[in-house]
Amino acid sequence: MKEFLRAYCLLVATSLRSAMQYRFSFVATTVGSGLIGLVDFLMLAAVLLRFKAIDGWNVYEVALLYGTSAAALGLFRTLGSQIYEFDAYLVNGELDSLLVRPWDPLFLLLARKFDAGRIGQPMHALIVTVLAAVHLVRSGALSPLAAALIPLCIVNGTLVYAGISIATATVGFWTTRIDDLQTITIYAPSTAAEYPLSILPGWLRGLLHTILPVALTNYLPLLYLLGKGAPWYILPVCLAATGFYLVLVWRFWQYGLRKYNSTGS
Amino acid sequence: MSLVYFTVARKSYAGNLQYRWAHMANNVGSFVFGLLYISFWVALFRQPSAAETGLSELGYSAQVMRGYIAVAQVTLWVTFFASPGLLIGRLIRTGEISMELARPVDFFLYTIAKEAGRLYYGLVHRSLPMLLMFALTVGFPRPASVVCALGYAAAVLIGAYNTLCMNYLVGATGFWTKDITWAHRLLYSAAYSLAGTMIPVEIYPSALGRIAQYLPFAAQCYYPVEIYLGLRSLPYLLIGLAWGAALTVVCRKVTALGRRRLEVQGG
Repeated sequence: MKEFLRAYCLLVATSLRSAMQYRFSFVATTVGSGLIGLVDFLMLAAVLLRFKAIDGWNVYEVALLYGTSAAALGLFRTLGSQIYEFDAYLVNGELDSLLVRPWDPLFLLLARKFDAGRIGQPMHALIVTVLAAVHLVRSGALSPLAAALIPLCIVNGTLVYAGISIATATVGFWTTRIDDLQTITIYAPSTAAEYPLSILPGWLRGLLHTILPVALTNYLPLLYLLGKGAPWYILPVCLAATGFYLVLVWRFWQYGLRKYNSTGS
Repeated sequence: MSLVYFTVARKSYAGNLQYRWAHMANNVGSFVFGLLYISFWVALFRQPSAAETGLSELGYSAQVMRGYIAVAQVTLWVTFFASPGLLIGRLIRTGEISMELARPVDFFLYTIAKEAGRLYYGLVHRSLPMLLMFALTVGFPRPASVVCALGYAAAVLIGAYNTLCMNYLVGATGFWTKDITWAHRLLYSAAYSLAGTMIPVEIYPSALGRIAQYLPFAAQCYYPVEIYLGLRSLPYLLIGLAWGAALTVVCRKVTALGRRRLEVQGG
């Protein structure tokens, strides 16, 4: 594991350095994709401001939901881009070349590419998170201690999206293609997590607390951090649930890998 | 001659058929997005402050927004989701563009005919299944009147044409930049917010709300849906028509300039 982390850090540094070779293009892409994300949020905020709140969450609180969810997803897509694009490995049979190496292909995929070009997405989300948190601390809705725990939520969220993404990739062992499935398992849940989950119909809310547990990334922790009635121990419960989910996903991945049939070409 | 373009469109439709089942999974995803947006609006209108927003004066309520989102989600597959840059960018990068431009057909018409076939595929295999999904679950509204239904059909055609032109222009930036990712993201993002896919554009604050109604993006989703629901009258179709005419001129001009600019890499 230690060896893996060292290799991974080296890879991140190399990717950043290579991206910096085209400094202008890199900066422009990063700023540009961040701005696009920001505009999307501002449009939504405009409507929220008009209504003042949604299900008891004001625009700053929703901004915190949005920022933490988008940051977690963006971080995962930057750090683990190849898991996200896993079906390319299945379609082209490239997975075979990973199978003969001494590490689990999952780690090899993680270490394969650090997608520096995507970094604008988590960056803009982090900016939204910080601005919202600062405002909420000033207005007294969020204690400074609670604000300090938000980075932990984002890290936890990144792990949740990693879990969901790996589980989706695993389904690919049977279906080969996963990009359409990702709309259901990743895009829709991450969008749902940008609003208070209480607005959703019960079955959908249940799904987002269990099989696709985006509730763990921001909604449940923020229910406590923003003083919306959840007890303090919701935080350790969320962390433990994420750990449990990752173990399940890991076993599912191992099971899927054993069932893998190469394209054979 | 026009038979050529019809055949191109038909072949492109047939080519898409092999992805039918994968797209059904995607339809379920889009349907869930529809549910999310509906939940969002229903929750907003439950707010005690909803009465002070002035939205009911504009004709919006939780019930209307339910219908708005359902109609928008169904309409988008015909009027909004075109291939990035109509795949012209790829043709330019690989050099295939030289062969395409050498064909004895009008490149602009040929390209949009190909994509029109795909949009038609979207109508049959995306819009209709989603319409069924909405109708069987949260409900799908009837058109406000027969005139509104006909107006909607016209608005969809106009919207689809504007989408084809705008995406064509994105693809054509490849003549100058070789990489259209940027132009595509910019268009997609602007269009997604300004087409009224989730938020009716006139709701946006002050100037933005007023201007957005006159941009070509509004024709992509906002006007078809509003006309279907009877919230807007037919003369609003003229906005999309005018943009369609203007964009056609620009597309033709850009094609001529791009043709002159074209340098194909050897290899």
